[in-house]
Amino acid sequence: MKSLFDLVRRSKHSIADEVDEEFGFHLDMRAREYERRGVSSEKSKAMAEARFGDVEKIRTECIQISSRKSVLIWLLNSVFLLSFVVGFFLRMLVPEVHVHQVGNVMMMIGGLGILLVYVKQAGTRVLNSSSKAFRLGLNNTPPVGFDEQGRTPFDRVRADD
Amino acid sequence: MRTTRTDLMQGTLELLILKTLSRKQMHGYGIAQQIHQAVDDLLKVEDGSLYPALYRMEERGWISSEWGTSENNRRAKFYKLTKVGHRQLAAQSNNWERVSRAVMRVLAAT
Repeated sequence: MKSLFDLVRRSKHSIADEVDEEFGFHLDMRAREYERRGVSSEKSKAMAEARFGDVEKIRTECIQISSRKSVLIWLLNSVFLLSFVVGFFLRMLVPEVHVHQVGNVMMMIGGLGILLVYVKQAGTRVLNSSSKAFRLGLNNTPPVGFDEQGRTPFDRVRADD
Repeated sequence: MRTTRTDLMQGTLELLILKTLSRKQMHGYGIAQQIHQAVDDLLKVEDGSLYPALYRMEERGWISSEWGTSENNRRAKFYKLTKVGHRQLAAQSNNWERVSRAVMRVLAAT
């Protein structure tokens, strides 16, 4: 059971890291906005935090919501894996044809489910690495939502304004 | 003239986020900026209150998120509306119109 606890702990750590990074970005952007208006650096940070609200409380709430999703994905994966394994053993160990068919269906559902969850997660990873490679100049193809100059839709609207 | 800032009614923030994301994908700060500009400081929306709402909406499948690069070349989490989110926006907009029409009728009658 140690590995399961490790998985949940690691998952919680990465969720917390992502929440911290997201909040950090928001607070930095808000502080920069105040600095552009002529507020000192120190005061800008304090104002950004005040405008954000109770950071620690909001952080805890977001981690809790995200953790629920991670557990759900883990459960979903487990159900699909179980379906595949049971289907495999039904096919291997029980000689009756109709049991073979049930085994086939279970293997197919399990396999497709695992594949779908994997593709969904891999898609996000590919997009992230694609963004990073583009930013570092390793890839000339902009990631989805970015133009050739690396501008986001948000940038383009601001430029149009 | 000093304007009075009103606290946001429960569920309204979700509608504002859905509407904002229906135009384009955005990061949390961008959404906050758009909402602040749109409501012209009439409604009191704390920046941080946006995030639990965003996370809950993602959990419900109304929006999806992916990490990308922001306008200042920093890693940022971008949110976009899903098909379910578009349907939710239509439903919540209709509901909002119905409720506001009803309230206006009561106010006009009394």
